[in-house]
Amino acid sequence: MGYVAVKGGNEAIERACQVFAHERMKGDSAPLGVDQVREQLYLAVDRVMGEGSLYAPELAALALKQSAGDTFEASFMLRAFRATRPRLGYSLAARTEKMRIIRRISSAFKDIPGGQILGPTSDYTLRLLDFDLLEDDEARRAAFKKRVFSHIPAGAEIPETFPRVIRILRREGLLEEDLGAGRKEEAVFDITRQSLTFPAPRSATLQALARSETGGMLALAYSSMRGYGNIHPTLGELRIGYVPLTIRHPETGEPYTIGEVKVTEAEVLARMQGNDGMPKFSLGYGLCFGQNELKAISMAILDRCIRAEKPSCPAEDQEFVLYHTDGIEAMGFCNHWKLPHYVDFLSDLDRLRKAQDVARAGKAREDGDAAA
Amino acid sequence: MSSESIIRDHETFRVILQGMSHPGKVYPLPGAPKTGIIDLLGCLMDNEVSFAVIGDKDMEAALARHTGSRPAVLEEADFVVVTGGACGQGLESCRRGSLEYPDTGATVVYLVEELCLRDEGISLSGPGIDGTIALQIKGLAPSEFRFLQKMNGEFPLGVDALFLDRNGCIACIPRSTRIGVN
Amino acid sequence: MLLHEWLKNEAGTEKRPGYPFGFMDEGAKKEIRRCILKAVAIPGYQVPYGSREMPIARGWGTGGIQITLSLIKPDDILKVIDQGCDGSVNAVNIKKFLAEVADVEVTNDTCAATIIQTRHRIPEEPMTGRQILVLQVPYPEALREVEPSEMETRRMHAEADYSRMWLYLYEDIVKYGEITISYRYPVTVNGRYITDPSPIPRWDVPRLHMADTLFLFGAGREKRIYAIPPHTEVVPLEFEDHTFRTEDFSGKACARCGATGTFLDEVVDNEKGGRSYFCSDTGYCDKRSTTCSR
Repeated sequence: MGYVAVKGGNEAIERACQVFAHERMKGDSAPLGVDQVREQLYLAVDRVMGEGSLYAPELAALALKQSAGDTFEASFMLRAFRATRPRLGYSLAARTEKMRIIRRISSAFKDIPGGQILGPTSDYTLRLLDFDLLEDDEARRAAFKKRVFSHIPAGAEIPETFPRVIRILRREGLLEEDLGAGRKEEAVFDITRQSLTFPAPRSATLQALARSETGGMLALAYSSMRGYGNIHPTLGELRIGYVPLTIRHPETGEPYTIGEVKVTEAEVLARMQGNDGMPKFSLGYGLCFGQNELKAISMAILDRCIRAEKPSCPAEDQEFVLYHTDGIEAMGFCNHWKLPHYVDFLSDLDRLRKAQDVARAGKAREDGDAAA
Repeated sequence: MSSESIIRDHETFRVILQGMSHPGKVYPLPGAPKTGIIDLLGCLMDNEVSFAVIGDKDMEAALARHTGSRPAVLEEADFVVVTGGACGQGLESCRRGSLEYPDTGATVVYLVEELCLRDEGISLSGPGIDGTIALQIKGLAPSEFRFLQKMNGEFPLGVDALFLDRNGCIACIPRSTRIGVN
Repeated sequence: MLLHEWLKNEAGTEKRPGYPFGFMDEGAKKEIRRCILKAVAIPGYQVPYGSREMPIARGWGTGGIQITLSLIKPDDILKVIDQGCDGSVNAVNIKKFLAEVADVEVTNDTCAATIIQTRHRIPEEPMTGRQILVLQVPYPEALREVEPSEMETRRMHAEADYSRMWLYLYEDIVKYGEITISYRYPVTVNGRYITDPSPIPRWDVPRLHMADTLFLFGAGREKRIYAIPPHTEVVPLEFEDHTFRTEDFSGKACARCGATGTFLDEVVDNEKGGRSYFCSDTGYCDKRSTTCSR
């Protein structure tokens, strides 16, 4: 009797775990360094930090190694680890104007104060496999770096701060009211400590989206872009860089900067709204850990969608979006179908057999009537 | 928190759970008879809930300090501690929850003299009770039962009552219990 | 890597440094305890809570685990079953985790256990007022079959507006001549809330009615806790002319212990093509087999 035998279940699980670990060790390649994952698969690390909801590049890299590259499993490990960490405190609201920018673009305007800075992006690469990477040694890297850095114009400077594009629109009265200033929430909702009920406050929806799974969010945002719904988004601004985190010093109460985190921030402008009689653009906001542009843009679109007055499609349904985009919950439940369900199934079999009996009896009666 | 105090919280909660699932029955808390209100509520309250104390300002400060909970007005409190045997009319200000979220109704903790099962006590029936049970509560104003009945007259709205006596024993009357008068 | 090895490696060489008794932080446990008490006070009503992440995946029992961890004591004796079986992989995994972080003894004997955590079955042997059954729940909402929106089902429960559920059952009868719901058979608790008893088979539903023991239901992914206290009315939804019926095992007996009054697993015997039946409750079957063989 298979793996549900009263004795032997233990051993089966142990072996399965061992075989799983062995799968990534059985080859001849050198063990993967966590530093290698962190540095050279940094976008996977960024994605896992975002979905695991814990800014810890080293741990995210470890999780990716341990899970053999399964980002769902890696994010899950990070979340589980996060749940065991004590809550030390809360930062002050971070100001992304203070971001140390590495990439910043706007599609709404051709040129913007501070300039369009393309930064590290794959957007313009030709998606052709680079077979040179099969032989990726130190000498090749050194030569590449030399080539890249040899033609930097001297004295090229980046501005200290970059004014937000939406500030321009707001100043001209073209953008809806600052949602943060108007309806001030009493306290920031914490979705890891309070249960989410609907309709959910904005701090709760943004938190939930910030830790949601990239693919799930992309699918729903894509449905909106394609026409399910009426958002017609334009990317007002996309910023990637390092934002300083400040807390109140535990003794002096003074603001104290404890470090910086890399984030991607997207602000999407959408079709008109305006409850005070004056039509304005509406805003969708996205923010996530690391460099994950698909997620930030999808998040901004979904943020705007779920505030639709009358939801006309899944992407506009707050409940639908928030319930179904958490990767850890979705994956856990999808995987749970692999658990034994034989008692449930037997119960189903019983019902089906009874229903068939009833159907047969009914048919026999019909035939009997017809013959008579 | 030390291991011992964490385990003590687990043990205390088990007794409270037993009390709430078997309303009217009297159970000694761990550490009885020395167990007080702080030991009782320490396993339930923290900085995510609010509370009000009727009739004892020092207790309010002690509870806030020990649990980290926020003192609040009666109308907003999640936990209400009633010293002096009666809340009376004030009970009507306590939260009964809403039809969508009846669980937001308050938990009212009465500090009383003595709890015992006696025929002369108040007759209770409902979920958790096999038939009926008679609970005598010394140190509680008899009129308090009428106020509780009124508060809990529209199930699922209501408050859930916990009684702690001087012997470190508890009994519970959740809103699902039918309070009859002998 | 096994769970307890992961815990050890994370924390160094000590048994549980950094992890308090019961694994979760005190704030998490206190919230769950408050919710459990409200759930018991309002039988059958689903209390929302801020479900914490566990090292075990969502959908694999985190709701049940969080309840168990909030109330377990070192002197408890723990039994964990899945589909009635103590040796099922999921039950074994959970048991190892709980035994490790709560330092408790484990047992396969329903009568010896003080806490039983279960997935999809209620043990055959009746439990007492000193025991607690913690059920793992995938879908806490009985009305989800007829209404996908949480806001709407919450309103339906608030107003006791259950007409659509009754209509659903009626349509089943019209179509198939029977109510075809097998597991998760909806019940009315304490005459007020329609409740999902979790995917236990119909066989187990009558055990919930006026029982001696407390039933706690935990849905981790859906973030809901509910309860059925002892001595509480639990009535399956039925019509006068189409009453509730359990599964039919007439003419069948357990091939191992001979029991005829238990829920039986059906096993297809590949070699002969025939069918054998075994008690789903393996702990009970073990007991009967040992006594029978004497």
